[in-house]
Amino acid sequence: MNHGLRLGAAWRQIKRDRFLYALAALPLLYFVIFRYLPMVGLIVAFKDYDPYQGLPGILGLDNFVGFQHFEAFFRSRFFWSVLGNTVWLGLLKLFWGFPAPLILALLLNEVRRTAFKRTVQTISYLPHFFSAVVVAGLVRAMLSSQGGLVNQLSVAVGGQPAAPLTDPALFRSILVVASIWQHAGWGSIIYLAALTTISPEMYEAATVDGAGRLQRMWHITLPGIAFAIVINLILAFGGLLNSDFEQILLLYSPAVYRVADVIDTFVYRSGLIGRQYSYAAAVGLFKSFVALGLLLIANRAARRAGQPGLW
Amino acid sequence: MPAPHLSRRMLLKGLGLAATSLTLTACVSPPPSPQATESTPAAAPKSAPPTEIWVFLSQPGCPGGANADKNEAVQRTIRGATGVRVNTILAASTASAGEKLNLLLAAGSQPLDLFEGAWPDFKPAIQPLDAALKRFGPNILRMNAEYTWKRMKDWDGVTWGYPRLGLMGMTHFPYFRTDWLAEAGLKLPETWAQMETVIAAFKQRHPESVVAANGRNNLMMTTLGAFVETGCGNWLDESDGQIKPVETHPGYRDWVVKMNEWWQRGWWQKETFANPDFRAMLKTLTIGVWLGWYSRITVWWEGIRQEAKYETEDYDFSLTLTGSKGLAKTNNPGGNEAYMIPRKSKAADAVIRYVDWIYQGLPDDPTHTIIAGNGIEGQDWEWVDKSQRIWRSLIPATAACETKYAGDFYQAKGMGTELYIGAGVGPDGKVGRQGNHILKYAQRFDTGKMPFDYDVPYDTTLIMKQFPGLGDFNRVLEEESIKFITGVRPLAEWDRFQREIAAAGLKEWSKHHTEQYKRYHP
Repeated sequence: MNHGLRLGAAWRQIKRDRFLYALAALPLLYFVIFRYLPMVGLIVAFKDYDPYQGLPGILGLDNFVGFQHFEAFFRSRFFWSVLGNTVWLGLLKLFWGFPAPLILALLLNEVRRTAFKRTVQTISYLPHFFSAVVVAGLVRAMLSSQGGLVNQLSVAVGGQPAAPLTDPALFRSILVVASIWQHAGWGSIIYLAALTTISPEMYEAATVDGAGRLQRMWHITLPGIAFAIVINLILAFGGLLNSDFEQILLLYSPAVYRVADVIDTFVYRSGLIGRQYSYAAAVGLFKSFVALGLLLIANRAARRAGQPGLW
Repeated sequence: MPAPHLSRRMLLKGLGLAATSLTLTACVSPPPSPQATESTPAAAPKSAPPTEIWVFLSQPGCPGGANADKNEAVQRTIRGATGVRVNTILAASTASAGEKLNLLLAAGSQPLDLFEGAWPDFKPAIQPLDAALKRFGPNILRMNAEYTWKRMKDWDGVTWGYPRLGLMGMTHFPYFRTDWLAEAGLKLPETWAQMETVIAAFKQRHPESVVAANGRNNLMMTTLGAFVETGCGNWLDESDGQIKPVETHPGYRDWVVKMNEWWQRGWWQKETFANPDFRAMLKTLTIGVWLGWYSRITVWWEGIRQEAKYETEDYDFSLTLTGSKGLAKTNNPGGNEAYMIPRKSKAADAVIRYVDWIYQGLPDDPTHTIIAGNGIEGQDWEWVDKSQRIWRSLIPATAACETKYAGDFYQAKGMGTELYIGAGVGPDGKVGRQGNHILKYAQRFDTGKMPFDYDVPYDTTLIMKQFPGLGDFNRVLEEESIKFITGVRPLAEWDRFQREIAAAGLKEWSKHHTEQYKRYHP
């Protein structure tokens, strides 16, 4: 009887909000069709898949090889290098790139002149809309040893022309700086929005109590947007292994493979270029499991610290 | 009576319905028709409908599409002569072409009847052509050399494609700035020592001068023969009878040492091994010596020169350049590049009929070939002297894509046609540099070394299955070589590098390559 009552209540709620459910149904369908159903294809990671076999090649069992491709990846002489580059680049971008939009938002929040603030915001958002190809082209042009701006400045002050993009010592820094330049502005939006939820009266009270600008920032602003920071941090941890594949692919070369080759570029070369689809699927699946683990750890840590997690 | 008003609830209902309807409409839109270019004719002839075929262009002259009317005119000509309507699928860029092709072949939802690539890599997806060539392709068979057909066959003698390239002698000459040579009072170098004198002289007079090449492989093709007897290619180690990669040859170390010496002297363009924009680099007029693929000069530089109307700045090449081990250049076996027909295609006969039409008339009358490559006679080109096979393009090479025919239907490029296409003369009356270069030097095999296994089409897909670490092995060769050349890794570690090659699977690599070689040379 209770079960029936609960079902009845649920049905009444659905009927009451039927248009909202109708609105949500199609996006959910999108996720089912384009995100969940394709997961069936992950089975090729456990097979010796030939794309010319078509659907029987994916769903049949006669070319099943188990964990052979995973073993091949773990045994690859570049496994630790690729994994290490992926994690290290992710950590670098997290360490330097995560605070950048937050700092930009905090600084913009202190600007009183509205026109100037809006101008800076608009300019800072623009690079986000450039494609990876455009950004890579700009970086190459700036750093080119033949007439690049950076080299021209260097030569003007007595330096020698250099090719930073081929220097393993500089390549990661270039990636991080380019990434910050491209995404900091857009990333600051969420913090600027969170800042609007802080009551101005708190700032007034703090001012009356004699708190300086930095003290107000530390005791009011940051705690006020802590929830946004934590959520973003959890998501950033989950995406730690997504090291901006397009940017690396467009800028790297054999001279810097040692520091720049990440899981995604490895998968691209072996999978799409080398046509080793099963091997590439296995490597990608491994990466996804590691990312899932990081996400779970980050979410748990956030909840233990008393902050709201993703779930 | 109160005016009717829209309640909030009704408004929300309406918005929800509208959003749902719009989304549904977008989701159930009809499946996309095959990606037609402007070349798809507006109406088929009322008599027997032509056979329709789809061709994938991995390197279209105009990725965004060329002039629709001009495309249509050429397509109509082909259709009228062969009964075949040729449609094209364009790759957005060379970089993405491989991915798009693999997706087309794997998905199978888009019709595809002809594409180009290395045939062993696509063997499971393509069909043999022996029967179709015998019935419908007598001109294709006749015009391609025997040694070129050898590379199109597997070890059972089955033909999997018709040649896309073929053996070439013209692809890797060393180019030098002629105005700088004149300035320094020097001639085109013929020996390695002379070349170094030229480079040093360029650097002295023009400190910004650099040597450049598009990647290690092209550099090796142009120069490695001066240090390795067998040139740039696999070699047979007679001590164990095994075929080995050139990176294990003793002469390869000497070459790397020399390239590193150039790097230390600051002679190299510093992004030579990092995929830079060479077209932009050519425009800076700082490349004194070009040691890469020839068409960067004969096509790219030529276009820049014509557009900027340079009068003194230009390049010329040394026909032969010798070092301590002989000729520096290695002839280009053309790889396993072929035009292939997918296994799922039902129009193989039509494809061969259409392609054979392009070859028809050769070697004496290249009219069909020129039409396929350059457009309609009288509109896009005209004869200057038909008996000498000299013709003039009526459209400048630098014309915008919207105004010209880009050669999309020319699916017969290679030594079987381009040697006989005659000399194309530009609007300025001069013979086109690219065409002239191919005509004169394509078969000058005496100017370079012949790879000893030039006629063996190694099936690298099979080797990859037998040797899963092949990707890692190739990366070790490429990456470490560049590190030695650029000084990132000291040359004192060369022996360690050789041990790393052995550890990466040299034995397996040699075993599988030697096995395949012996299949072709029992």
